[in-house]
Amino acid sequence: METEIIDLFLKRSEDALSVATEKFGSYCRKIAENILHSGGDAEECVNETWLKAWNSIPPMKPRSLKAFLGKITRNIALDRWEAAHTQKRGGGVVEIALDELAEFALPEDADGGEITRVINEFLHAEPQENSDIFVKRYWYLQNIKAIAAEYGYGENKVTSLLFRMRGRLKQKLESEDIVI
Amino acid sequence: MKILKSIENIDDELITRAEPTGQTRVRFTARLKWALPLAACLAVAIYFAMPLLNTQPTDGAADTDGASDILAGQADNAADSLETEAGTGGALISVGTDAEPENWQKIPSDERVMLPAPPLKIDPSIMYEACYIALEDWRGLPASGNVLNEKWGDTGTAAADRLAFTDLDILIKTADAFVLTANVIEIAAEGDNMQTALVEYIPLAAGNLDTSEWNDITVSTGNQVLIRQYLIGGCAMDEASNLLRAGGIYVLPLRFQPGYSAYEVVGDFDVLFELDDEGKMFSHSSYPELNKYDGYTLPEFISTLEAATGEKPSLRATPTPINEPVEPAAAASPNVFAAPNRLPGEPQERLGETYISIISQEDAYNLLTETYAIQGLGAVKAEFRAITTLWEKIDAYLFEVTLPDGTDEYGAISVNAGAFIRLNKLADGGFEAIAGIAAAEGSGEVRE
Repeated sequence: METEIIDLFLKRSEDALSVATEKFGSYCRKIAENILHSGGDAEECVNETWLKAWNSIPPMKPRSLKAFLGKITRNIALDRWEAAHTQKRGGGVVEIALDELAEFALPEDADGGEITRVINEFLHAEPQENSDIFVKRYWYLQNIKAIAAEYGYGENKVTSLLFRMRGRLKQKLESEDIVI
Repeated sequence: MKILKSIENIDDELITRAEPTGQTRVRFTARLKWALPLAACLAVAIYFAMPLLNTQPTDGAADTDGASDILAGQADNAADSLETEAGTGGALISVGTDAEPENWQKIPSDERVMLPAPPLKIDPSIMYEACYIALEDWRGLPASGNVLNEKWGDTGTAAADRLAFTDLDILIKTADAFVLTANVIEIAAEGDNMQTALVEYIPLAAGNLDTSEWNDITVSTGNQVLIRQYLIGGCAMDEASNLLRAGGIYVLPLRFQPGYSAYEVVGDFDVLFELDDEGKMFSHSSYPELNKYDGYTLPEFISTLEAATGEKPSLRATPTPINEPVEPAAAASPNVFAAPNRLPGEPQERLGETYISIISQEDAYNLLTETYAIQGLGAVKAEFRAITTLWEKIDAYLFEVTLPDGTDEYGAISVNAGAFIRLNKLADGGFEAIAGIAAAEGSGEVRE
């Protein structure tokens, strides 16, 4: 199914947008809502996602359309969040996630691709459940309570697991001279 | 923000695999492992309980000793346990230990017991730090003179479970886990023949308590559990009985009981391993295979249990004895709910309204320096060194500390609850707690 939708994009068929909306609309909306906590803003993000996807495929041909669209949505939503919170910080999930990640002192000129490579290596080396929980928290920006409920764990257990994973990731980034 | 954005481009596979499901899950593993031996045990129990079920009232109103309630409850619970394993519509239960198909009886599903929600609630946000004095120094309540097996000897009736649990091996096979109770936090009586206890525990062996929620009720966390018991020993609930007591210290085989929405003590009609006021174990049992442990010290009994579990996980969480009792470190921070170095059975005082599950490095530094001052050690210099895992179980901020007299040592603040620990570094890189408690040795796996 994904391949067929990508083909529609590549053929510049406008059906690509309607099918993608039907197939991945709620997925992208949920990502945006996790970050922005606003249905209206999330909807705008999703609409912007279709536009960016339309402008990106071709020349790009993603291996996983779902992940590709998710990344676009997340990026747009984080940009919006950042713009709205430049001067004011609250207690939303992004703020909390950022607080949790504050120990990663990355230099501004750090190579983003290199960081991603290390994170990928790290996540692939972790047990799948750990890796999934980490991605739910810091990619999907799901709150701890929802993650705990999904796994049947207590919130403390999830918090502690993430704490330990951050410690290991930091160690790995340090070993590669990425984190200061 | 850069790290958050760098995570954006992780592999597609990782992203799609971790997509939130929006579903909730109740952990309820480790149950099938005891189903088969339980079936055999409970078959015997039900065989003897059947005549009573047919002739005794089950509401307990006319009872004088609560016996029929207990038996009916136990039998119903047996049916419930087995039905849960077998699915809806009743369970097939073998009569006799040699399961022959023609000997199986069907227990109708409508006979199973479903008790109302327990009267006590666990607060999952509270996590108790395992910082206790050495095991050999633990003391419980006076425990002699109450032998459970003999309670109804003169009535001619037999308690259902009584015929099943006669040695340690069957308890190990039947329990979800053995735990050491560090503190019976609260007890609530339910009528005149039942109680629920909220207990702080330390997991020992033979599995673990991994049923965290049941019917929207938190029945266990990493160190709290709800234990529900029927009474044997009288009907007033204030005499010597099988019921857990506030201040008591027990080693208990626990099993999740769906009908209770709580855990039950396996075989507590036969045995209740209790630590007495002299630091000796007392089984409350007349079975020689159980009361042969009477007089053991707590460490001896735990070692025996560890050996008896064979291939099962050995002692999974050694209590972490720290130094001599001190003022609670948490006093320095009104938001931390923990008092380290306390005695078992001694309730923790709630020092603030909010429990902080993960404290910051800055909080840890403040807590550490203030605690040294509270202990009369003066203004110390402390330099953060690492996040470390002490004794393979306590995540802690580790500081190198210089006392006012120039002495160097290490201090640590546990990440979860702010417990304070003074440490010496060993030659092998591990740490030992200061104050000469031998069992405090362990390796600190330092993550720089």
